[in-house]
Amino acid sequence: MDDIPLPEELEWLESNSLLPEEEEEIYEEYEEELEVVVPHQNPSSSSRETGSTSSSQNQISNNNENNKKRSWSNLKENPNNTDNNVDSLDAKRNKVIPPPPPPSREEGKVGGDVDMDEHVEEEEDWLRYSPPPQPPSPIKAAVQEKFVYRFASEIDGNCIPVTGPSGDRVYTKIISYQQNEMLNNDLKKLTTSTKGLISVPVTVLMERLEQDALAKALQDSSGSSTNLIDTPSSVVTEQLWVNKYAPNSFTDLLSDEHTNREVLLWLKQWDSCVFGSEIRSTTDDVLTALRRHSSLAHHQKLSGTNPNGKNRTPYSTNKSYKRPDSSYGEEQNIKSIQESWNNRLTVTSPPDHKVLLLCGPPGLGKTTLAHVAAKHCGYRVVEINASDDRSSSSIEAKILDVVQMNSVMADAKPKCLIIDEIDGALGEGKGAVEVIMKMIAAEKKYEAGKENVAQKEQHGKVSSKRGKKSATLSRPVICICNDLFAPALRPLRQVAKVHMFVKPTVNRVVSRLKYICNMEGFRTSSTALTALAAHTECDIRSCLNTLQFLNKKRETLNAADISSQVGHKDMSKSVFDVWKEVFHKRKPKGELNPMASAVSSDFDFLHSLITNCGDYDLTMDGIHENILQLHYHDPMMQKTVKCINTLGVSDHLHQYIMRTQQMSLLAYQPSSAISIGRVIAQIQKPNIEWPKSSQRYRLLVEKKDLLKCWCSKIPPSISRHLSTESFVGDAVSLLLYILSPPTLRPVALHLLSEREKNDMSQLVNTMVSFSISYKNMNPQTPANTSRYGAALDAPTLSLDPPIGNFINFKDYVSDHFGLSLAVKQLLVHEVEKQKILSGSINSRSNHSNDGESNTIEGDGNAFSTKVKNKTSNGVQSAEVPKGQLIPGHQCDEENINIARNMTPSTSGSNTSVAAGNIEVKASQSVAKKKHCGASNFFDRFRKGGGKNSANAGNALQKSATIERDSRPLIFKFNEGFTNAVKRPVRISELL
Amino acid sequence: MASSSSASSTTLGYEMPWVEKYRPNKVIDIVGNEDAVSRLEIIARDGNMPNLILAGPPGTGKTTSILALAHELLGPNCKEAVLELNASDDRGIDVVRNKIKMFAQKKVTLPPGRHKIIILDEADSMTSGAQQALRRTMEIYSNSTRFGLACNMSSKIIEPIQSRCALVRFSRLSDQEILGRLMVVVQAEKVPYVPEGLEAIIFTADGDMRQALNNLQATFSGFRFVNQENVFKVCDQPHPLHVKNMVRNILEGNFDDACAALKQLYDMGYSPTDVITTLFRIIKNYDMPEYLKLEFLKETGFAHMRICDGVGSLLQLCGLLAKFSIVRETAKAM
Repeated sequence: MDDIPLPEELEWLESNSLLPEEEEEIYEEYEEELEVVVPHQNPSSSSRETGSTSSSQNQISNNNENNKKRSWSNLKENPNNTDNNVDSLDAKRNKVIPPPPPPSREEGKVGGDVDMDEHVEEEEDWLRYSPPPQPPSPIKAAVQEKFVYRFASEIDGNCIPVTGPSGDRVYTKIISYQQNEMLNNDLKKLTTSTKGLISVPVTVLMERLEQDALAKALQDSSGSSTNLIDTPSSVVTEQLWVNKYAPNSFTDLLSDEHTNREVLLWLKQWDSCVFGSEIRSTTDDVLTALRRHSSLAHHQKLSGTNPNGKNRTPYSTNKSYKRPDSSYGEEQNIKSIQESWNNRLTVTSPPDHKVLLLCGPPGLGKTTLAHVAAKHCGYRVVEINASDDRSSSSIEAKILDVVQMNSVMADAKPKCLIIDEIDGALGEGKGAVEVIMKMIAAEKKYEAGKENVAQKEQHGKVSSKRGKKSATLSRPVICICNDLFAPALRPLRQVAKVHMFVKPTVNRVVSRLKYICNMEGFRTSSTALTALAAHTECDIRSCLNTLQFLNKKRETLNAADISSQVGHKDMSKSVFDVWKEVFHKRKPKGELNPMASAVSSDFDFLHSLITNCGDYDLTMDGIHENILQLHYHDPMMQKTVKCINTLGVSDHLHQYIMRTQQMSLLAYQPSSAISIGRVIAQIQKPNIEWPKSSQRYRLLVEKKDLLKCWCSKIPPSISRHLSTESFVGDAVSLLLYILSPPTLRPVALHLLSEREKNDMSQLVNTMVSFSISYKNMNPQTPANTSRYGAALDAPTLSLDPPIGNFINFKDYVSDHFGLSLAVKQLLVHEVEKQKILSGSINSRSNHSNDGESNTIEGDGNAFSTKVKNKTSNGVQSAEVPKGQLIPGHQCDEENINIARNMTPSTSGSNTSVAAGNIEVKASQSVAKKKHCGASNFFDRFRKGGGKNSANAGNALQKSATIERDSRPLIFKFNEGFTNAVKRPVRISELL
Repeated sequence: MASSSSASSTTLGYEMPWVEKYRPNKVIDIVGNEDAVSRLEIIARDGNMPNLILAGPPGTGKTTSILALAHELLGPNCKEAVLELNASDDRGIDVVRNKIKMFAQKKVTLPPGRHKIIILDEADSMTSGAQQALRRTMEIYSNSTRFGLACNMSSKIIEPIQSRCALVRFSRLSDQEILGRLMVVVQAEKVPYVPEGLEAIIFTADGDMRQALNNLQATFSGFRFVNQENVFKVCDQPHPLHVKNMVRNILEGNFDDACAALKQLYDMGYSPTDVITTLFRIIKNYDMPEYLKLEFLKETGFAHMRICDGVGSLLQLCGLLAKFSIVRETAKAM
């Protein structure tokens, strides 16, 4: 649409712009009269008279058009209303309310018109069509008129200047509030009354209802007999199908063959330890006594890690195999071969992995497998599940029961512990994990100890095992979890033998389902069963539950039923799945699918997926890190820019949420993820990595802290030249070079040449001044410097603040020379020595300095107290301590200061004079006492550079300093100044 | 009309909520979701109820059907053989471990094909720990005890439990179904009404039978007459349909109408936060091109952010609508 109408146009518009009051009148008029068309004609015709003639023609046509539309609308409305005997009120409303707005097709028509017509007409057309057509026309006119004017004067009433996007300044009229109000009233009526609050009018619904009721009544009267027929076929099954058809023997297991075998193998590995021999596993009563007898002997041999045991175990396992199911055939052979091979590896004692961890999504038969396999191997199953108490103490008690106790009953089988849902009830589940870990650790310790005391154990393995203090795992423990990566399971994951359950193939599931359906006499088609299996993602339990539920309904089952009737199982997806979904475009299933519905369902799916995942922060992080790794076609970088923009938006939101805790805003996060996915989703599988930025950032912070820490250790005279930025950029690499000169030979110190010694001392100096040293490091984390030289298992030495790490950039290998271990040890030694040396020097000088200042202070204090006590005459007496301690010039100044401070309190002018006296006298006394060689103070004295006293003792100072250097003196000083001075010190003591 | 209302007012007295009064006691009487209900019916007849999860929006008859099922299955034994726990009860992990397990172990003499039933209403509010503890209990005692779970969002129920149950989805009731039930109630209570009033009630209920009945009762007890104005006076909420109209207007290019609708909403006293939350929901579920939807959501997010900052003025919302229009225009241009 054009912004600025022609002048004539404007004129017309202006003339046509009815005043609000006028309009309201019209509106009311219009409201009162039930006929719509007639009042409508009046205002427009009057306005036409005032308007310019050129536009009047068009206006007429416009009105006609509107009238036509109106009558048409009435007609259209009528069919709905004809059969209702609605009261007059409703009729009126119905007329006020127009039909639904014409679709945008009319706008297109406008566009077509523009080409042919002249500008004026175009404007008219536009007036006619584009604005909301449904309110009654007088109001519509009012709405239309709030358009731009070139001059403010053209508008009567309030106006507001508007600068268009092209820089034109135009004016628009401000529509008074009343108009709006009126409009609102109208709209309110519009929405609340006949727009149809519900899609189907209520009257129609009521009619339908009556019809239904009638039909039902008819059916009841006629067809009641048919209903009665199918009732007797009531099912008397007590059990759930899931239980009824749960596999009882190993061959019935539906889970993956390989997994089953692995589990069984693992359990078999316990045989030697648990049963000692094959005897217990067989229930053959005849042989029991005999075998028990032999087992004792056998047992002892085993416990002594006798190689004989190795030969026996395969035999025993074979035996136990044959017992439960003789129809094993070749499968068993394979197993026994594997077994024997396995057993050759693990000699006698329990297998390497004490714990078996089964994990996988629910409904694949993990628990069933564990139970069946344990039973198969002759164990009695003891189960701990999430419904039991999970505190570590109670679990420990339970495990101990299982592991240590034997039932007193005759047919006692050893127990096998199954901890179900170990990941469930997080936090509490940790208790179980902890206990198991403790036991495994105890076992290890025990193993280590056992080697030493192997001899001692010979005489009674059984008792020693039972009587042990720290309980060890001597019975198989099977843990079952859904989420392998639950944080509570982390320690367990490392020690346990982990088995991931894989989904059984659809065919397998379907064949089993078919079998069950046959058994139940439930007719199904295999397509339906396949659909069901796919529906539940091969969750056999869910399938069975659903089938049992459906069984009641009808005789045959078809695929459509399943998809329509049965609820989808909600999968809890991990973040990885979310990312995959975001980056992975699904193939359109078929051309027949209507696009719109497919898209919207896809959107809903993704949205719910991301919402369910919940961790938006991580989600966005992952998207951000992986986005650039994707291969999408983007020659102009537009997609990338768009994605990054969206990420920015999301980040902005996130920041806001974090700052203001407006969690409701989180609802907007999924949409941005989806929009990214829309832009770059690919058909092929994305390669997704876990986001590392947060981890990287954490490392960076750690390093920074390290650097800061180190900087604070370096004496400030050096560290002030090191800023963190420049240090990493410029200094570290060079420093490392300096620290590891290639010329240094790994020989004893006294064998070094003079130059080398020099180098050495320099190096040591540097190291000391940068407070760098070497220290023992674990060999697993070899620092940069220890790469060469030291053997792997020996404790290596690396730089103490590991500054080498600062330049450990990705794909960068620093090529500086690594010192050998011997040299490092030497250096450590030297550095320590140097540190002690310099430390002593420092402390010495520090102490002396401290002492000096303190004595001076104390002196000052003493002096001041005396000043306080006495009058200005006390100067003389004050000289006594001064003389004792040989105050320097500073002391004088201090005294003066003190004296000055005193002035208000003590008698005024005298003191200042006295102060002057002090100064002079002090300097004199200093000059005098210098000879005595209180040399330590003289540098101070020199620095203080007094005016008169300096000249006095310049030459003397020099001699004094020399003297001091030859006789370093140390004196200690108690902290706290008051009692410090109280102790009289002789100068001779100081010397 | 006046006489009838006064007559009914005398009988009204202290009445129980109609929702309770007209709650169906038999599975067959349950309105809506015919497929699911018919299956429950068969279960009620045959017994051997599987573990069930009934999931669906509020007011669609989940609790009613599971209670009715329990009643029909167990009849007089209902008292001792049914354990009903809802969100008002303590359902922490300890309760699951003790109370539920104890109940599951309890011995109750029941006819064949009947089991004790544990009804966990609003199961989605159970902690995941409690749900975990439920898992094995469900299996181990399945010989004697069956579970019926009702929840709004099945995604809040952990997957292992979903795997152990047959999941039945309840959908919102259709207008006709609600109307049918409303008519029953209206006739039974002799409520004076006009059809438009019922229409308004159906509209505000939005497929929620409980809300419909509550609104009906509220309107009746407040005004003694059910017509449109009275209904809207009682049930004051930003109508989703209203907002939906607004969005549709935007999408069709009728910016002024949308603005007017917005103004109207604003003048009715709804806070901008309410308006924008409703708007967000509507946009999320509106059937429009996805690009537009995403852009709209983005803009809504920004506007929401600003509103949270305290600038929830009409101008803000209008600006949002204007942004929508711009987005639409550019989308068209593309």
